[in-house]
Amino acid sequence: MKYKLGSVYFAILGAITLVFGAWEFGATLGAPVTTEIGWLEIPAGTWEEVWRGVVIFLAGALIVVGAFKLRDIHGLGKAVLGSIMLWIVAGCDIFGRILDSIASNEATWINSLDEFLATYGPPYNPALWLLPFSLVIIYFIHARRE
Amino acid sequence: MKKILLAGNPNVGKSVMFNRLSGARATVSNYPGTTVDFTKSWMRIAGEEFEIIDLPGAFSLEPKDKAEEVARDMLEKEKADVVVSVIDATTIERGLYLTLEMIEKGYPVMVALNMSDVARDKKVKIDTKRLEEILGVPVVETVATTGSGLKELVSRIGEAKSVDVGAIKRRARGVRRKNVARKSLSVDERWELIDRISKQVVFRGKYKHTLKDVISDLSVRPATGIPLAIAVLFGFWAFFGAFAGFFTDGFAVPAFDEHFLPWIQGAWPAEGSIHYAIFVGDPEAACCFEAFGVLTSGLFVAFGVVLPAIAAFYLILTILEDTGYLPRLAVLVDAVFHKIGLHGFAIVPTILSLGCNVPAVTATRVLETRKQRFMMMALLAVFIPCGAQIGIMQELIPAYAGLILIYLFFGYFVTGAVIDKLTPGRSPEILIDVPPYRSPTMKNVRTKTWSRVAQFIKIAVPFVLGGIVVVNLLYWVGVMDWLEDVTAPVFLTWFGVPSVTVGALVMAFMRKDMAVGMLGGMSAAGLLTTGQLITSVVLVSIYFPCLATFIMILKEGGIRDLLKSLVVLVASFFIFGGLMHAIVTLAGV
Repeated sequence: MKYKLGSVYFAILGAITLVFGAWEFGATLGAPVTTEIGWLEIPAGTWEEVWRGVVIFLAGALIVVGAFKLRDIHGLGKAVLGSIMLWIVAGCDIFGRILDSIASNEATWINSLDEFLATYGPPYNPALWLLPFSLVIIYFIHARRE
Repeated sequence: MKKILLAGNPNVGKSVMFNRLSGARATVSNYPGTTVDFTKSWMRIAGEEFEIIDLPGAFSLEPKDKAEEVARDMLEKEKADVVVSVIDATTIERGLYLTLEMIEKGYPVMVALNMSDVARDKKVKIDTKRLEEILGVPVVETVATTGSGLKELVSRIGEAKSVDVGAIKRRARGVRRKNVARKSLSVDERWELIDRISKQVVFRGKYKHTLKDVISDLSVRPATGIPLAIAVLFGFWAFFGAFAGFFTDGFAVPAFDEHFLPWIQGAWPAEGSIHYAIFVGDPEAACCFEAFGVLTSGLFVAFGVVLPAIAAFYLILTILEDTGYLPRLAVLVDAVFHKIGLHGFAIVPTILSLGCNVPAVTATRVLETRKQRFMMMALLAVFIPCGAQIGIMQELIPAYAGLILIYLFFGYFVTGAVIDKLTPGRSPEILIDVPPYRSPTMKNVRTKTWSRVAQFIKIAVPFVLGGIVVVNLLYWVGVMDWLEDVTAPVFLTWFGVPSVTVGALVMAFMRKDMAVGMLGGMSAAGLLTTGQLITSVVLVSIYFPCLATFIMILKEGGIRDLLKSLVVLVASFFIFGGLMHAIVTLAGV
């Protein structure tokens, strides 16, 4: 039962990831799409964002493919690989935010407490929104081990 | 002083064992071919001093590449008192081949069955006692990464001895009768003997594939491995940019430009003198890139820009090496590299070169043929910018740095294909062991990153500072003005850049990172447009390798390869420089 639910969950998560990926690189390549909706921000503008978008898109594709055979170790492996790719992008974003929250790039050197906290506020990009949902894969890794 | 040699196949943990035994800091990574030269250190056993030497990995004493040649020559030359044959306990057969060869040569051998923990995990059981009986030399199970078994190994070093291979053959067959002593075996006889031995000492239990194995497998399959590679390289790039930018923009730029530069411009005596020009540079400069003095641009570039960039690069590279991802990348890109006469392992010197060209040139020793080594050295020297240069490119032209890198990689493959066609010689297939994924240890990441950064500072900083002195002197005596006049027609028509760029090209021979920094100063002073800056950065990249790389190519490849590399360089400079001019003109940058 848990694998059935897991399959549905990761198929949906993978599909959403895939759409976000396409949205990111589409926005940078000039597609007429919105880049900010409330607390969600689609990074667009530089060639690195195209790269980011491609990574998220491929991560979504791997999660979807893996979701259909989650009970099988090879299916789970693909979903884990997709999640790892998502974690790489989200990890880099978090790392960038941490560094941004410290240095002020001005003569004051270090940000004030308000500036420090403001860095962690919304909007967030898709990888950060998807990160907590992708962590569910850890449960399935443990379940497999047991 | 007595000598101990550590010999064995690549990536069996010799260097880890060497570090454990001697307390040294040899570079260790989770891929074959990390050690391409020998490393010496000393250790004390029971009050006696021993010299211990870590040899490059070798599969056989009949060398197939330069690293194996070094191992064989050292074994012949050093007349060791003990040769510790380090064998991967998960696949002892290949290790036994080299061990038998060393026994046949009469070396006093003992065997360390390393990675015995991994063997246990893989349900591989080895009857150490029986193996010791057959070989007639001490056999000890070890785990070099944790130090397990090393005490026993050291305590039994005195038992290492030369044995007759004929006797090993008899014992493996279970025959008591004495034959005539055998000095050596043919290749077939050796494998037959190994087969006989392993049947008696290796027992493989039922092993179920783990998720780690599946991930490992998926990382080398194109359909899943390429997406992962794209993600890993993205992570590499994003981390590099964020880390280097944090230190450079966050701290170095304000410190140097807002505090140090105005202070030294006012405090240094005798504005207009030669020493002012050399040490401080332009008294009106608003930023350190523009000033071009030893104490302004020199210190800022070396410590404010290059140091964070290089630290970020080596930190992430070390993590990738230690996890074992690099050999997987090598397998993945093998087909692409075959198109230019190289194989997947060429990715290792290429990636190392993105840190610094100097160690990368040494790393070409893992390539088997002279043709491959020449090709690799030429391509690295011309098309791969070092981490320091990339750091400065990121700082000066962040929007274009990645595109310039893509352009240089395009040049790398096109030129590689041309050299492959023009150069005679063999391009053999890849033979690489893909090690299991491992978690990097904090200690190794810290030590290796630090030693690489320290090595880089030692190589780079004197060239950066010395280069500024030389270029400033050339400006002072008028040589640079003369060069600008002579080169102006070619620079303006073919490359579309003003002749002032020649100063950066002279600097590039000392340090390319500083040369790019110099271009940044010219751009800030309004001497270059964005398009000209991009073309100039490309020209600096594909221009002469920096002096340290130049010397290293001469050492590794000899004068012939160096001259051939220079021909490649001159042709590439004009072709790819001119092409870049056309691209920026058409793109309207």
